[in-house]
Amino acid sequence: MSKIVIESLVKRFGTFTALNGIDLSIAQGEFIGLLGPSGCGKTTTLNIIAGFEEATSGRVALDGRDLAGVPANKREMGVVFQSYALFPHMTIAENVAFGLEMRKVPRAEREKRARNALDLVRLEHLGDRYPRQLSGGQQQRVAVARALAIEPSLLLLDEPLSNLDAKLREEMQVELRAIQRRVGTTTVMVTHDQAEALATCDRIAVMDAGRIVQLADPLSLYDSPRTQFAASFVGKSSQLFGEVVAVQGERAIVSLRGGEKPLSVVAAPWLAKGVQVVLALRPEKISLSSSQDEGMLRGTLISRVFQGSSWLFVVDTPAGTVLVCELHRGAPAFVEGQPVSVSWSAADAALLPREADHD
Amino acid sequence: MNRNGPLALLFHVLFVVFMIAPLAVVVWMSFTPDNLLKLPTTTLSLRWFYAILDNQQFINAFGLSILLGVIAATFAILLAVPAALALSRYRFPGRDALVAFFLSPLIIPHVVLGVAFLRFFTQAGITGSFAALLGSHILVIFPYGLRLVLASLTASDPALERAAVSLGASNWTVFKRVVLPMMIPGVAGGWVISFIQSFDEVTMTVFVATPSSMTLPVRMYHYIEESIDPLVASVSTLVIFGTFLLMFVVDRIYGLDRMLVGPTK
Amino acid sequence: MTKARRERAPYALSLPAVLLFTALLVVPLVMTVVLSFQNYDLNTGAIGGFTLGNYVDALGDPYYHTIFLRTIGIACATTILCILIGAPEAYILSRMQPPWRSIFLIVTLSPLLISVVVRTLGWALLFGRNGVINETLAALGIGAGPIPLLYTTHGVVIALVHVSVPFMVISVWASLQRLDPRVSKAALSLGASEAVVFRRIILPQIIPGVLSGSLIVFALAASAFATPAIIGGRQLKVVATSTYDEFLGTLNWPLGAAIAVVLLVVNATIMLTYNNLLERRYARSTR
Repeated sequence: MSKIVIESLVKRFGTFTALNGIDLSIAQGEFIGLLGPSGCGKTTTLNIIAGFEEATSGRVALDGRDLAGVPANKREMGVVFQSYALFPHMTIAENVAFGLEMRKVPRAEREKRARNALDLVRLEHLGDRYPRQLSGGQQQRVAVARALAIEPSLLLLDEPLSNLDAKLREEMQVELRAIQRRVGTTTVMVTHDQAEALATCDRIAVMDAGRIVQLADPLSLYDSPRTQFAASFVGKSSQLFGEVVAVQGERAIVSLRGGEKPLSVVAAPWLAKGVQVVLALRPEKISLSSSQDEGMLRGTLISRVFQGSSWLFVVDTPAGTVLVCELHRGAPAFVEGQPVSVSWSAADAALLPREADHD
Repeated sequence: MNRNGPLALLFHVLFVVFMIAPLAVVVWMSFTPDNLLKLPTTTLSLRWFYAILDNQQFINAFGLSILLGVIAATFAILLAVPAALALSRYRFPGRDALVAFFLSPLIIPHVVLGVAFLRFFTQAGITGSFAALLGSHILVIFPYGLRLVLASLTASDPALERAAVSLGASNWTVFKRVVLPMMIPGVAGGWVISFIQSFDEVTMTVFVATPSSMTLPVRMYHYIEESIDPLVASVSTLVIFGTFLLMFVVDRIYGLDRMLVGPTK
Repeated sequence: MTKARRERAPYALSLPAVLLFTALLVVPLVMTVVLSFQNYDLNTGAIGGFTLGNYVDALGDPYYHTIFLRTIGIACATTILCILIGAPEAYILSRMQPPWRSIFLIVTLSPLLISVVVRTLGWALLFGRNGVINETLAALGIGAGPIPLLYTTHGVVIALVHVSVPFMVISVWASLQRLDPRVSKAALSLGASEAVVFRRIILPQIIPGVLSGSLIVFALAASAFATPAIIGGRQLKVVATSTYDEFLGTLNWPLGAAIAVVLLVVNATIMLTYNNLLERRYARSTR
């Protein structure tokens, strides 16, 4: 049975529609990411689950119980805020024990459970300090400990790592994931960082303009994005423009702008003749050749960027700019300005309907 | 940080002298052993400070000013705290108008307020009463208290309250355990500046006070109108040192620069 | 239920203060406006009725013309001097090293917390015929006889500058604090001299602070009472002191009320137009 079920959630602020019908069901113990650019409605969704805001319509149910009318302080949800929101006038131990105090847990047990929670984030030795005496990463872990100390039925993380520097953020992604695995609390994390979502979540809901545009596990989200938005927001991708020129039974023929050979793809109901399409390609799945005869698309290498473990090539083609990524195995043979061709395997390309506002 | 050039430093020295000179002269003059207003050059004397003890009018006025300031500041803060909570925690129709309304005593000339109060209290038949002084002072100092309480409330992270709620705290508990502790420096600072504003107020009070209910600045004003002698200088010196003492206290609890300039962020 | 309570909460919380303001601000001001339209009788005071006579007197009488013009002149002079003194001082303060900066900021601003009467007394002691300034000049053998300062317009202006210049410093200081020091560094890196950085980068950014400081100073100076009363004496009347005289001297309350209303209206008009101009002028640059 699903831990939490969200059904056709709508939220309007005046004339602005922040959420335009969100449906999501989350299994017990799952780590779900709400991923999207700012203003996509992800934080609003989190606030409605937490009870900080009321939905205009739709419902949220936890363990089969409708949460409408349940105030935020009775929802038993642990929340980790972007600013951590540690109480500055209380020690770390007092911060972590606050939720237990609210539940009238006797002092001795309260202290023991607060210590355990701090233990979980490996900060048991800092209980007597005040928040301002801790580093950003430590404050972040205290915030997680405080939310977990109440043994919440749901853990809500609002951009939990966005205030940390890049290196610490990567470490904390691993740690957050490990802690969540250990305690097994169902978790919803809001983030605008696609790498963070890919690294930590079991499933990711990509949101755009108040809707979930794709809900998938990280691997399929990365490999088979279903919309041009999802393809461009998650990971790097090249988007090539083309048109369906013919439909022949099981196959559809797509011609890329300036492409040498038409591509034959598996037909789908939406692939009618004359439909504008976008072919989304991951950079590491494209190969680059200096011979103009063998590739699927000709172009000119306009720049090559050394990225440490890999090289990124930018190729200008009539169908659009193509990014190619190759592992670093010594200096590459290609030079800027050189005519090249690119090719890929049909299975690695995602064919998507073209969206007007993502050109 | 850039250094100031010699010209800038000269300007600065002259400025500081300009700011301090009148206060320094008052203090210096108050230690004169003479009957006349002359800067003492050879000997210093405390005789004009002892003279204050013989002047019941100044002592009464001082007592009244302290009592009035304490009570008015307390009332002003008690009214300002809920108002500041409303203005900082809620977005509601008429909010901006309410802010302008509450801060308007800062913009209305105190002479006009004095005239209005005089008319009002005369009609109400309470001219010169302590209640009249108190009411007018609460109104005039309210914006100062409100500004500091409001600043301390808006400076705190709204997520703090949500965090407490998510951990199971009731509204009252959130207020008691999170909002109130965060507000205390602002409330304390607001109380002190309200007290100082009440203690210093003269332009409005000169209309409201009667000979039997004169605050210290009003008494001093009327005294200076008649004659300037070392007695009023020694009273002023006590006021100056009293104010410095209060400033020191404020600096400990709230930060003097923060109170004078307002929060920098 | 909870939603309705949430919507009522801010009004309930601000109700006590609103009640106080209604009783002690709105009602008295309305009564004063009403009073300013009433007839006056030498023997019985305000006798009701409706007349514009008080305004005709206040605005038409050359005696009051002089007073209004003098008040505006004093306020303008005070404002200009405060700009010339306060703005550079705020800039100098902002360039000081940390311990000195806050020490001198407090030295500059703390007179604000000391009673205006005390501060004005200081100037009276400095200004008198046998005051400190003239005694010092005489002792040094400079000048021909005492310089008149007490009971003069420029004496009032000097004392008012002292009283109100901290507000200018605060205002300019606040706008200087908002400056990003990297912007000045960027200008230096592009080859600008210190002087050019000040003129082209810093000055344009602190002008809103200077202007809003001027607004406060002007309003204070135009309605100041104790300082012009003590330094200016009985002869050199300004609007505030003449209002006081009408109320507590000649007891012509309706006329005093009319003068007060004119002061309020002029003050409010200047502030609002100035504010609008400021917003229109600077709305573009902040966008």
